Amino acid sequence: MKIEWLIALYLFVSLMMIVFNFGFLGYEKVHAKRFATKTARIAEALRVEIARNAEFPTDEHKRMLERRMKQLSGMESFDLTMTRLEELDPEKSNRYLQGIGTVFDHLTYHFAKKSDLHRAYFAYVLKRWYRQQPASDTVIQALLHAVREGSFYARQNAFEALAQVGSARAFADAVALVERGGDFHHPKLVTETALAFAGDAHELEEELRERFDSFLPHTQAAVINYLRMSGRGDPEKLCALLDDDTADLEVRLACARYFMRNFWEPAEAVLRRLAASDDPATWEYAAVAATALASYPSIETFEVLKRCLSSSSWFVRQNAAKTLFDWGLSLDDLDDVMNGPDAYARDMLTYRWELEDIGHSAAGGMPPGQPTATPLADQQVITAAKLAPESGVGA
Amino acid sequence: MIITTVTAAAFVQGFLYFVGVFFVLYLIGYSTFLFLSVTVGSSILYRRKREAHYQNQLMVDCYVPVTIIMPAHNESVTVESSIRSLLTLDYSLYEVVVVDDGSTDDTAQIVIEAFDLHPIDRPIRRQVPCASERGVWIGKVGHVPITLISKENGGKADALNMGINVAQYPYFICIDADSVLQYDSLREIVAPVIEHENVVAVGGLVRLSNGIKIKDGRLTHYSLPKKIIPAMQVLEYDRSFLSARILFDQFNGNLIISGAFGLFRKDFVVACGGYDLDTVGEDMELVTKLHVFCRTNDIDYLIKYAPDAICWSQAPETLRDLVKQRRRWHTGLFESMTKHWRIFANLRFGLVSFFSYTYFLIYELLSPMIELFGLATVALAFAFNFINVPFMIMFFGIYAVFGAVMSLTAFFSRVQTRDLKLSAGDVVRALLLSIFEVTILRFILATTRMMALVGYRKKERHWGTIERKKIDAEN
Repeated sequence: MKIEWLIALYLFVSLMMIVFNFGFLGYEKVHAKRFATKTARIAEALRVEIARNAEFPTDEHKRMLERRMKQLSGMESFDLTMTRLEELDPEKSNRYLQGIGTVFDHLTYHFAKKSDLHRAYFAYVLKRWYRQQPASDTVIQALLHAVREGSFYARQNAFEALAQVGSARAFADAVALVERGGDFHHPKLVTETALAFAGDAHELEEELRERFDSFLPHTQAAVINYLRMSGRGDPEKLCALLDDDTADLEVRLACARYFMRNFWEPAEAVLRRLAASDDPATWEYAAVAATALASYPSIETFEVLKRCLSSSSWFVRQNAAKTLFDWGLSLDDLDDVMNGPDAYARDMLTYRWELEDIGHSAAGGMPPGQPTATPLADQQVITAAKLAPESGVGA
Repeated sequence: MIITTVTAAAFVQGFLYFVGVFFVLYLIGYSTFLFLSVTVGSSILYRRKREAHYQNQLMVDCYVPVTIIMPAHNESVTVESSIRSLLTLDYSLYEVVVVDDGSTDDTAQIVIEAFDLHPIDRPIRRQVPCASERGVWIGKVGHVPITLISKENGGKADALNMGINVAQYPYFICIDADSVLQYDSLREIVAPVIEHENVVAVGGLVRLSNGIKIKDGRLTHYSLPKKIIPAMQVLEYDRSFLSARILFDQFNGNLIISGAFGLFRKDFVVACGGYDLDTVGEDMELVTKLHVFCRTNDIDYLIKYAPDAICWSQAPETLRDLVKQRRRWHTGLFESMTKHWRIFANLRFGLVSFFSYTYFLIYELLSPMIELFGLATVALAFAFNFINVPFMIMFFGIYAVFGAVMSLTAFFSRVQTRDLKLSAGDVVRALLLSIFEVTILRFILATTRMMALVGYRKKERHWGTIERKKIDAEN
């Protein structure tokens, strides 16, 4: 190839890029203006139509709505108009939305063939504005399909829509599907979306319980986290899982955290066993158990936590010190450790007490050495006075 | 005599022929890369804009705990405003760790007084090497815990390692003490961790704060900087960093995450030994090391780039400061590439080797020498009257236009996808600056980078001293 041709090629590319830059700049300006005008026009037409059909949307109105909403701009206009209407008159907007439920059924067929971007946006609109209860099978199946096969955002938006409009069974199906699509879906998203479930939480718990054993470990952990945060779950089953040395690490850690928030006496012995483990390979169990034991103050646990202060793992030492502080103990109660041979344990205790003192004085709160409110808010707080006569510490 | 001259002329002509072929191939390679990166970068930015508009984005509150590490050395002018900008971020769970690396000014005192920090005897878990601490202070502003560690001077990498040792959370972000994070930057930089499995690091987009105004982490006024040097860097950042990194991101091939704003998984960084204390380009070295570590151990991993996660950073405003900065960057590049030379042409590293490393080797590390060699060859050809001057001028002209057009495309695609409003004056300035940048600044920087290699001394571990100004950011 002659060099002149190459130069001509690059000159051509440059020219095309210039045309693209300015062409796009112009297109953006014109498009933005046209889009705003079009959206305003559709929104106004919708507003008038909605006002006219608020109580009993006619078939003609529904057909018009369906036609408009097949376009992304129409869908967006609907979203904006409904947002405004809901602010002005929530009851009227709700009645209207219940009347147009079939429009979404018809749109479902249309959007099923569209790209992931369209499907994700449709799922978002469904989540916000679909009010038919129970939701139609068409809508549920379309959302489950998106959960199984959509892109990340289509999957998540459909998942959230199911949490909003679906039954407990449909949502539990979605939890099972989201892990079987082959693509990664973060367990935190499963937990957060489950927490947003708008239906009967008790039914959801039952559905999840039925499917629990078929879930992959990371989904099991996500479900346990959901149960922990919603204050539900079968403690007996979870305690058995916590005690099962063959169970998955993440699942057992989730169980340990569950029992920190949801007090259940039989779990104490298992947590204590995990906290007492000296095996460096299992330090994660010991660390989480040392924190979870904050909800289980007792003399036996106190001894275990004191041993944890000498663990080879930084996190175990740190968490044990925090739990002892949260129990309301003072450093005098721990004088055997403070005067003992382990400098790491002493350092950690001193640091924890200093840290909490600074936190309290900065907040203008309680005097040093008093327990922090949050972790033990709904638990029995063990005090130095309670411990002292039996254990001899703090004398 | 005549025979000798003819022989010399024939030799020079033969030499020039081969040089010509080499440069044709070199420029085809570079132009193609530039074209690819700008078109791929722009199209991805436009696609992301459309996706975000139609709610294809994370909407649930899903947080991973993050430690923000801010190393500081003689940053008394900017450190307080930078920390303040970190306290209003739209994110639930994070802490700020400021590491004062043996400042000789009152950096530490300013932080202690401004945020009412208290001294504490904190045990430090040394997972990665760093110099010893002088003292630790802690405090809390709102829901954000702040820790200040004053330590013996050891360089930026050493300070970052101290930050890693003190960090409580499983992910950490390193930012410069002259930087300001946009209000949603943490959510955006964490998003790839939520979206993908096995993300070990995420690079954010560093944009220049010269000429802009920020309030509560939100951009309130945007224009090109008034001064020529930072204004040209705006174009350069968009072309060379934004577009190229989006391109590399398509095949997990980014070798650099800017030290001004990057997120890392702490356990992986600790497993790699933390930041290398013997290089001035610790940011590139760490990312390259993560590639080597994961590939060598057959670990499935991703190093992502998040162009929606924005950090505002100051660009050098004088040529002198710019030269100092680029000299340091090039030294760092040289150190990282020579330290990890095994990546070169190594099948185990796939595209990281055959595309990323090769690009950095030829078009970044060696480019100043190649470009200056090209200029010397032109002078030689001119001396022997082998040059077609009108053709040469046309060639340079088209080369300059091509480079300028690519810069402008990257610049405008960023401006358009961020919905920024540019004045007509700024558009004209961008046009002129793009030509000036590829013709004048490029050769100044090429000389600077070559001098960095010529004057290279190992273990030159000092902090860069660039004149700081207060960032126009209100809280």
